Amino acid sequence: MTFDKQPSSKNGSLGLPSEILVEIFSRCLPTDYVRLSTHPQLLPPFTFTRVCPLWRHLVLSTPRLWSRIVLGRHGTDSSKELLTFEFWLERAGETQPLDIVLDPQIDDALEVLLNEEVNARYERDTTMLIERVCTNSQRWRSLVLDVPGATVLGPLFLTLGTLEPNVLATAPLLEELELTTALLGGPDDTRTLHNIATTCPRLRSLILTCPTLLPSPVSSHGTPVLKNMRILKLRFCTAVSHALDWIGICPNLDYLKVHLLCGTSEEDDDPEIDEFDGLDEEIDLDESELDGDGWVVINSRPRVHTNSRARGVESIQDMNVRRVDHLTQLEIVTFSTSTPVGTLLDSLSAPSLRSLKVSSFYARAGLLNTRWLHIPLFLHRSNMPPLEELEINGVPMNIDDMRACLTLTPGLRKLSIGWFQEFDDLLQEMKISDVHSFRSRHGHSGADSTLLCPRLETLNVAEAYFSIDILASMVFSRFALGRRSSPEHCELDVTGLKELRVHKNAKEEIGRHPVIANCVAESLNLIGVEPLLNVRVH
Amino acid sequence: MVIIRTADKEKFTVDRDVAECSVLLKNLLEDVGENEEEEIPVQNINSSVFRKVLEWCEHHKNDPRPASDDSAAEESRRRTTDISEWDQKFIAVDQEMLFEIILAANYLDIKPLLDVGCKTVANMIKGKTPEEIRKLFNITNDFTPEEEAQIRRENEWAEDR
Repeated sequence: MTFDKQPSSKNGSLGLPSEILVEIFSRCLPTDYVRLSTHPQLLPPFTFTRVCPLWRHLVLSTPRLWSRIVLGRHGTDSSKELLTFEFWLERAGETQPLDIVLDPQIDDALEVLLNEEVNARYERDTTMLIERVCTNSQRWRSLVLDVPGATVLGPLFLTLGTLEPNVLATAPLLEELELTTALLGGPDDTRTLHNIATTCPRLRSLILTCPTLLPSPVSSHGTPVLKNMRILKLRFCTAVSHALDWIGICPNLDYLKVHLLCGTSEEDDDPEIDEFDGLDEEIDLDESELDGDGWVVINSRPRVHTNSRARGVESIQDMNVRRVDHLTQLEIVTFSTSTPVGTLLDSLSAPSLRSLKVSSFYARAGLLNTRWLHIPLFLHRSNMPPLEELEINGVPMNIDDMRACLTLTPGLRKLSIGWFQEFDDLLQEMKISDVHSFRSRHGHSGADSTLLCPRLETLNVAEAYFSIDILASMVFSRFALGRRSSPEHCELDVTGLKELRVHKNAKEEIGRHPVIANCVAESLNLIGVEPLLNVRVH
Repeated sequence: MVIIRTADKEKFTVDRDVAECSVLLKNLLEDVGENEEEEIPVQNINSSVFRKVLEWCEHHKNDPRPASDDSAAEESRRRTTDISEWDQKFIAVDQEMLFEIILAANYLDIKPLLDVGCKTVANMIKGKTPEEIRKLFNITNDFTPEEEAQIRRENEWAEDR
């Protein structure tokens, strides 16, 4: 490939200096999704090479315009992707850090899995491609590999796992690593990534959807520490202990997301009883209801253990709480009632947390009227972190637990609650009729009262089950109160509701409610959103 | 208040916090100190463009200033092409003024405004063929026959990639 000499004509400069033109070019680069679905010749930066000699010169002499290499347009035909890789690599020059994405647009995943011949060809070609990608590991800035089976990741494991004395980091520039396998299985290698602290010293974001990739908490070189790691997403985590191992070696996490895919409840121990005692006084919990494990149903009590209190005490002695000081965002997604999400929460303390999301895809669990104190206890243990966003979906809490959560989060600005049996009751509690009735309910001084969510600006009910009249009444009270400026209202120090998020299919109906309509006419932002699960309005 | 004189000799009396949206002016003002009488010249910008720039600065004077060494934030800005509604209305000007605003933002070192300008041009370009881009900006196709032949060869080579 030859780069043209710089053209003398000013045609095409638009009167702008070259560095600004290049800046504009860089903002025209297509998304990975577009790159994977469109022939590159029809996209920038290719198209810019055919506009005029000046643009051609600038584009061909700017390696960073070519440094994001997206592979996978040819599906599982990795031999073609290898040619594409070589082409882009040449244009990216010899030193530019690389962002590499391999995300085959697979419509033949089953064929790859079941057809021996196709599978053999896929494995051979993809392994070769990944081997070639690995020869440039010194230049990786980000690496995303989304492949059907984990077996082809062998060369990568080898590269990341290579740790020899006096050898420099294998991927010294790598900041973001994402590994996804559509099909389970692959090498039974639980120690593959135990060297990444050394091989990838700048790694700050790790997204893993490979159940077989686990850190080794202890290696021959001591416990690895990924001190630069800020973002960790573990999807399909098959044991809480695995998540805790990762958290243990990433002490400076800012964002943690864990998809728990655990079929057993062996780790779903009771929350710490001592913690209950302290919390009871603060949030007026009924201790008589605190027996049992995390999913006890109060009415029918199908899963109450007669010795649950003793079992809880026993578990506490072994409990090693991880204090994650810098964590500001925590998201836990679960898939069944037997997933020990409570155990994970019970094992964490996050005093800087600003956003907490706990969602269950087994949404009906949220309609169980149970005691489930893991979230309030987590917040209590974290010394009431400065939480601004709370999202709870499909978690089997009752209103006492939910009230405890909201009492411990007075700075909340965004609240999203879905699949919660007593949501209407909660809305009633969150309603503020007027200053006088508020005082009669909560005492003369607003400051000493337990007004829930005084800073609430955004309420998301897209996943909730509620009466529209009760919702409208609560919304109006919050919206109107925030718009008044009398001394009495200022004394309450309440922020008015600004945004109501509802199921997109229910937006029209909710917007027609006269009270809501009035608020919207005033300035309330009513937004229809796509829910994760479902909604019913009655 | 500070007095700023444009290339066409027009004087603007500007609030200090508005002027300080520009890193260049901020540095100049630090040199000038509290002397409000002293005029600050901006040699490369005429009054019509400077008036537009001031309009933007006035609206954004309370925005947090971007850190000069925050490469991650810069990379994040580069990746998004979203422009706020107010900025979209502000930048809905003819091409000549758009490029003048970009040049002024570059000269005055107002990164967020430069960002808005670059995003706007990028959004104009996106999805267009080379021919459409030439038409949009009145660019002449002045490739030599040799260059045309090279481009054809590249196209054929890359056809199956």
